[in-house]
Amino acid sequence: MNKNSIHNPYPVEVDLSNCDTEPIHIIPYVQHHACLIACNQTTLEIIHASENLKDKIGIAHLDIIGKSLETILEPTVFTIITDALKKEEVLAINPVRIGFEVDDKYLSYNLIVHTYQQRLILEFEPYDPIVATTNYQYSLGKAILNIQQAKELHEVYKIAAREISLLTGYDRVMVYKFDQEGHGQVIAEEKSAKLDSFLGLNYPATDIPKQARALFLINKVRLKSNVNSTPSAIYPLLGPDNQAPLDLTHSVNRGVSPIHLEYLRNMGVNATMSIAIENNGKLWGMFACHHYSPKFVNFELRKTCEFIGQIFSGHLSLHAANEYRSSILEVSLTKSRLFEQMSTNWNVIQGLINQKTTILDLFKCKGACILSEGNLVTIGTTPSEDQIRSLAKWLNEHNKTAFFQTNELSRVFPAMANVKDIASGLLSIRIMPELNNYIMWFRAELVQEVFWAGNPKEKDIQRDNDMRLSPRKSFEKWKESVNGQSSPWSQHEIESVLSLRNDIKDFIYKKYREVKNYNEELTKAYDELESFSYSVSHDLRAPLRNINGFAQILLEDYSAQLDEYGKDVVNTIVNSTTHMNSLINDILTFSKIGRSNLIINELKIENYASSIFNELILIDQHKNSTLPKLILKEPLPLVYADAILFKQLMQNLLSNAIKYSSMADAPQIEVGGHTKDNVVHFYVKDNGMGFNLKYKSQIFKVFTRLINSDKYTGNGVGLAIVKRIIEQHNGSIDVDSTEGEGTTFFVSLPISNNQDK
Amino acid sequence: MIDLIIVEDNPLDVHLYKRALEKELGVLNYKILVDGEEALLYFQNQLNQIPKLIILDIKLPKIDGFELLSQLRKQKNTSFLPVLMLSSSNQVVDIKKAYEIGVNGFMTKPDNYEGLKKALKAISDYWLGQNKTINNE
Repeated sequence: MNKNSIHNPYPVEVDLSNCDTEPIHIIPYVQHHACLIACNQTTLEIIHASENLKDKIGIAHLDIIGKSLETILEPTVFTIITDALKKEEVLAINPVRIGFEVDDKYLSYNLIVHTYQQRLILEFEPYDPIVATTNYQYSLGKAILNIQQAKELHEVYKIAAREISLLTGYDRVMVYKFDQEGHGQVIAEEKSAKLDSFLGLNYPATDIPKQARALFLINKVRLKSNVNSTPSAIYPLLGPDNQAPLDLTHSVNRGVSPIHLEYLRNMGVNATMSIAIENNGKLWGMFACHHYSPKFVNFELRKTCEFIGQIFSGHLSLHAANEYRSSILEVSLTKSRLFEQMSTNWNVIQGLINQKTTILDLFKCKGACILSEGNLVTIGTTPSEDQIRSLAKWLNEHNKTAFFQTNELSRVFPAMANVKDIASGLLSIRIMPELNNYIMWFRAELVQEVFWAGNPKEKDIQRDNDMRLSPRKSFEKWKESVNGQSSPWSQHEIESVLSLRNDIKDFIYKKYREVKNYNEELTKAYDELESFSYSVSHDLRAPLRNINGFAQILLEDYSAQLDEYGKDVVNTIVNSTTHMNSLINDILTFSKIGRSNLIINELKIENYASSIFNELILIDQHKNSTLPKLILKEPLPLVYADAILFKQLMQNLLSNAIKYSSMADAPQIEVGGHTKDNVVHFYVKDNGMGFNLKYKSQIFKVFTRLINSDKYTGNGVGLAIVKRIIEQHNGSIDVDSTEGEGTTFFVSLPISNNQDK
Repeated sequence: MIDLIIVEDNPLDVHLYKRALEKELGVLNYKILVDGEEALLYFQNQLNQIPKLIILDIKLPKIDGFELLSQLRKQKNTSFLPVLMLSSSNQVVDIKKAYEIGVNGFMTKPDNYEGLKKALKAISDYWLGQNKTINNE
């Protein structure tokens, strides 16, 4: 065991379990492309030097340890540094151009200087005068202009990635964004055509350990020029004056963590550069650049990229604010459309689900449902009806407030674990606290959403199956860490559903008020109808009575002066008044039905049929027609109806049957029926003249008669009365008829009737 | 001497009543009053003897039949008089109201003259003690 390893604070074997504790800031190496010297900031005595110093600047590191910095630097450079130290503006001098003769060759370097923890650290990076003449100012100006032209945020991502790619020439430039938990996703990518896309890939927070993220905020650009090269060790490991390793937190050319190197090698990546993207003081994400062969980017270009990162960050805030504002506008538009739809359709469910705009349009989600008074209506992809009902039951028991939200439903309610793919996120509002009416929105599991988005393609990441570290492994790890979770509901989304809830309550209240108004108007209309009927019965009859009276007097007093025609005329006047009176009576009867309260009784059809039939026959007996025969198909069912109205109903049906069968050779009327599924069905059938069924819709209308003949008297109100009585009982009537053979009326009356009607 | 007072505003109805009473029933000692106010004044000031029957219509100008009846019932000298309502109404509310105020009988005006003759005969037989037969029967 050598001396170094005893004191080496950097673990020899690093595995994935200690990723988060890996002391990457004190990795005692400098990447092979650079060399490093560290001095005591006060005395300028050289404390550490990288072991490749001789190769780089022609001076062996062991020769200079303990000497003054002055001994190895040109006097002008040394003066620049000491002046900067005095002014405490060391960074302002970067980079300092410097050259060394090594093996008869003159090598140029950019010297990058910084101070940290009482050390003055000097890093020598190769300087290529041809590359360095590139006009970065011009490129930067163009890049900024392009970024500014982006209209939407996703365009900003894309353009920024392209500009960095153009500037640096990396094979792949990705925009990588962290979420609240630190998980990362590739949201934009610019790459050479031959490479597979990483767009949409997700990485667990552990892929970029906490301390790496912290360092990243300090040192915004991080370069790895060649993962396969051997880094150069810093000598000695511990400073003789402080017995501590050299802290390379701010070093640009710091060695790379072995874990990270393995990860990059597994991907086939040879060189990388990362540029931190800071937003509101937090690490928002980064530009991650990959190259598949060694690549070094000089100080000037790195600074240019860093500046693009800052411009990008500014645009993030700007666009985020714009998008937030327009999404608020969008949501409030959607809400007002929903409200309008509810109002137009007079129905909450109709308005929220069955129209052009639905509750799914409020924000990103795949399914929603409304549970209202026991009815469930769903839209999009939702759990099954049973699952939604059990969820509502659970909400009833566990949440008394108007609203509930989670992005990990299966954790709070494990019964939903088997639908976590479509319902990991739940946002739910309860419309009326006392009723179990819910509107729920479901959000799919994050992993599912990523797959639906079409990324990552399985083939892209399949080939690295057996490696310890790989994007596929990362993706698996990320999947595990977000298992059962949906993307979270934003404050804005929650507020919009709460405001929708208020809209719905407003609508229900508005609807209630309208119904109340209609009811009042209806009551008023009925009252007016009542007094109208009264007027009709009183005022219309008086002149009729008089016409009749005076015509009668004419007949009594002047018949001697009248010839036969004159007498016929006066008789017609008398008969017409009688007819008019019966019309008035019928229409009054008709108008009264529907205003009286039903008193439901159990009634025997046969009793009503036979007694009414006998009464009607009695009236008809003096006529010269053949009397009809009544056939009761017993057993007849019991009906549940208002006795007075049922009597009217049977009177009208039977008198109709008698009337229209009176011309038949052997007039016959049949009454039969049965009960099925809580509904009583019965029929009244005659063998009379019948009618053409194309007039079916007319026969139940008031004052409609299909025949206009003296043989069949009537006002055309009877069947209208029948229909109205049946409707009063929530029943229905139908008719079948064949001309010349007869007519059958079918009546259906429910057994359980609303007694309060 | 007046046996019967009829309060009826419809002149045609009045004509028919008169004819039926005089020609068919031979009732001559009656008086017709044509509005509620006139009737009330008559009962208050000019009623010299007690009629056997008062017939009231419901719809009357100025003071309707109900109001008139209730005034009669309040007045000492008329409170006991037999009053019959003869109206075109067949409404239960009207019939109930009439009896509540204290009518002695309620009859709906018949639709035709034949009916009217029969009704008036029945009334006069019962209230006026007349027993003349209707001519054409």
